[in-house]
Amino acid sequence: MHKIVSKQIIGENLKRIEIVAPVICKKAQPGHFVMIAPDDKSARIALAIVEINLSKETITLIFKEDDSSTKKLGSLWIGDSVFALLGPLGRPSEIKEFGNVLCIGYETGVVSLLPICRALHKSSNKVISVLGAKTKRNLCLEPQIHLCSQEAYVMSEDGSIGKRGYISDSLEKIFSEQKIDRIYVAGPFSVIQDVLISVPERKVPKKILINPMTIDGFGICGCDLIKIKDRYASISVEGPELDADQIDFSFLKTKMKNSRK
Amino acid sequence: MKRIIENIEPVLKRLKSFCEVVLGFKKNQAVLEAQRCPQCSHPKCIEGCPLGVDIPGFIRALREKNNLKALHRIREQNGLAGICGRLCSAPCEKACILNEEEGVDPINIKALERFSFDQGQSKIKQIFNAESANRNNRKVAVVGSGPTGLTAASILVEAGYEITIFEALHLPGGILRYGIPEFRLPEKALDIEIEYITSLGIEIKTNCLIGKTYTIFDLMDMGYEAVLLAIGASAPQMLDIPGAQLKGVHFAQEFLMRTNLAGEQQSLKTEMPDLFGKEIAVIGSGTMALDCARIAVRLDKQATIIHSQTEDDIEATGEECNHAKEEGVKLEVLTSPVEILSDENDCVKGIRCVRMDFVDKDGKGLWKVVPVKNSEFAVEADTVILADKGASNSLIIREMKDLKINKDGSIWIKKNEYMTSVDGVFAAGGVVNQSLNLIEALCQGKEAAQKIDLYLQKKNQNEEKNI
Ligand SMILES: Cc1cc2nc3c(=O)[nH]c(=O)nc-3n(C[C@H](O)[C@H](O)[C@H](O)COP(=O)(O)OP(=O)(O)OC[C@H]3O[C@@H](n4cnc5c(N)ncnc54)[C@H](O)[C@@H]3O)c2cc1C
Repeated sequence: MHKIVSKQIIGENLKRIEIVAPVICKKAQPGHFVMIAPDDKSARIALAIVEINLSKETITLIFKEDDSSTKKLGSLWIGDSVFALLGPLGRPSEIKEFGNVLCIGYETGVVSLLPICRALHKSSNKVISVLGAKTKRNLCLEPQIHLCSQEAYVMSEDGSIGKRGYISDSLEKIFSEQKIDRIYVAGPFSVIQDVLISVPERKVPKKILINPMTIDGFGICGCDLIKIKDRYASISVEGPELDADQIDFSFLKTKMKNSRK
Repeated sequence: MKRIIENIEPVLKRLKSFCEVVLGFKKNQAVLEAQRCPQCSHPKCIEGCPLGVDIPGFIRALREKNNLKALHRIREQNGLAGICGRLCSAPCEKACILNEEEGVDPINIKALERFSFDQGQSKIKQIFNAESANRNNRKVAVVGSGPTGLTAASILVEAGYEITIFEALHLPGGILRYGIPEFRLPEKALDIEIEYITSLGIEIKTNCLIGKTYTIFDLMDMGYEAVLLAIGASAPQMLDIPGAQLKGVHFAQEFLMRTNLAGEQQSLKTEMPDLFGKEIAVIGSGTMALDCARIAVRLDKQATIIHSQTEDDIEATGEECNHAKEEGVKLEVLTSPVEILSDENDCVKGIRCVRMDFVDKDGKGLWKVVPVKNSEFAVEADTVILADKGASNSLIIREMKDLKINKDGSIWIKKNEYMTSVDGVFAAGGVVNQSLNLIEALCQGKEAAQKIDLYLQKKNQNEEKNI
């Protein structure tokens, strides 16, 4: 059914697989994700759709092998099929010409950022990207991000690659050099929060990308329920891209602690 | 003669596994209970059953020890005998004429239904009639493979339509699959029922979320002339009390899905501790709350149900409540949660509750349950499960702007017609009424299928006229 047609190791415990998905690929857009289960024993997990190939009828997923489902998925061979694949899920990212967009990603957060970065780049935006990681080994997809950015910066906490420091340390300079029209941030909650606090320009629209921690992928399990303004919403239905100015951050913070990962 | 009760697994064995609790009748018990049936000339039980199953008829077959015939008789009206025989609220028994006689209990119809299925199903050879299938040359899509969708599909296929069920999850069955635990409905019984339904010639497409993988318009473009939305009401509803977002608060939907969809339930004991704590408080009042608590005690946890009304108001059969209590589930009835308490790390450490009592405020006999002053106390817990009624899943509704929605989020349908505000799109089951029980959902599935049949017949006539 959903056969794996190519597989690569692209970083430490980081794998890239291309899967045949004729129906999903026709509907998929940047920002969408899928629920995937490698076999009938493994829990289904949410992964961002990174690439779509209409002529081959495939989608590409990139994932870190950090739990039993992703390890199992990473152990499948070319020619194997996955047990379950549901999608495309979530809301696609709104892509148009915004002007100068700042794309910020930390470690594996870059996986969900990459398709959006590429689409923004294609739609004639100037993409300025900042990638961050604790150390060089944890940095994800840097060459791919470089290819779709006019400017790219790398920050590592130990200085092993790029500049030493946190992503937030780089923002002052970027904002002083140009007007930024839109910001995307993907990464763990602490990084998202740190970045948002450090953005010198308050009024810029800010989008955050949050991987939905969900069992079903369409809003039934409630694991990914967050508060947007005064109402509750499921990240898998209304996200993964969310408007930072509308989210109740204190709710999200405890919620992110609540989840498994 | 006294009503015969089904055999039950001993408590100690139950707590060690997810094995089925109610074991059903032995052969002689079934015959004895069947013989108790007075075979009324105007059977009230049939009137009491929303599906109108020929109850005296199938009981007669059981008396003759013809279990297969009994099952056939039930299936004429109800395609899910093995499931209803286990989970139905059995309104037929409340209607049974024996209730009118003092000291006599009604016939145990539910147990006899289950017996017919358990004994009869292996003998059934189905029955895919390629000639009659799709004799109308029209396609109908059923969205959702819960009890409503399965029932509607089986009726429509027999009426001669080509049926495809689209199911978002990787396995069919809806709540029967991911909501109701193994010890109340063994997966095997559900699999047999679904196998039977697919053997009628129905295709079930799993991993297919309507609204995303395909929209309803796509289905229409694919040639489906009517669409039935049987998507249930499972979206979780947040409890509006302080602390509901804390670490350790989960929805029943999550708890049930994680435990019911886990491949090997025995391994849960080792895997769950880091996910759910040791002392679990379940806030809610129905079978969903009971099911969560009963799973919890099987995973070596303490479970307390917090319920604002009396024990009699718990929306589950008395039998289920008793089983839960035998297994060590604590019930805090007439108790309402006020706040979920947190420790310094934003983790749950308990629930502040208040006692409730009946008060007749204006002396008019309108007794109401209200909080008792100065009665607050804390229930200790490291995990809270919110087991309130679900709401309709908004996904399809969002994708289809013309679909009219009621205030409570359920899909609007034309009364008794099951047609939504969109021509050719029907809805039934949980999605139109969130508080339906199983038998009511089946009944809606059946009625909706009949309305779809009428709609398509009319369409046919109109087309013929125009030729
Ligand atoms: C824990 C629990 C225990 C219960 N126990 C009992 C009991 O003992 N006795 C009793 O009488 N009643 C019981 N009930 C109530 C009963 O289960 C429901 O009334 C019944 O399941 C409703 O059936 P349904 O088919 O309408 O919905 P569901 O069973 O919810 O099925 C809906 C299906 O649609 C699928 N779906 C949703 N959206 C989409 C989409 N967009 N595209 C494709 N598929 C979709 C879902 O995945 C699901 O499989 C219980 C309910 C719960 C939650």
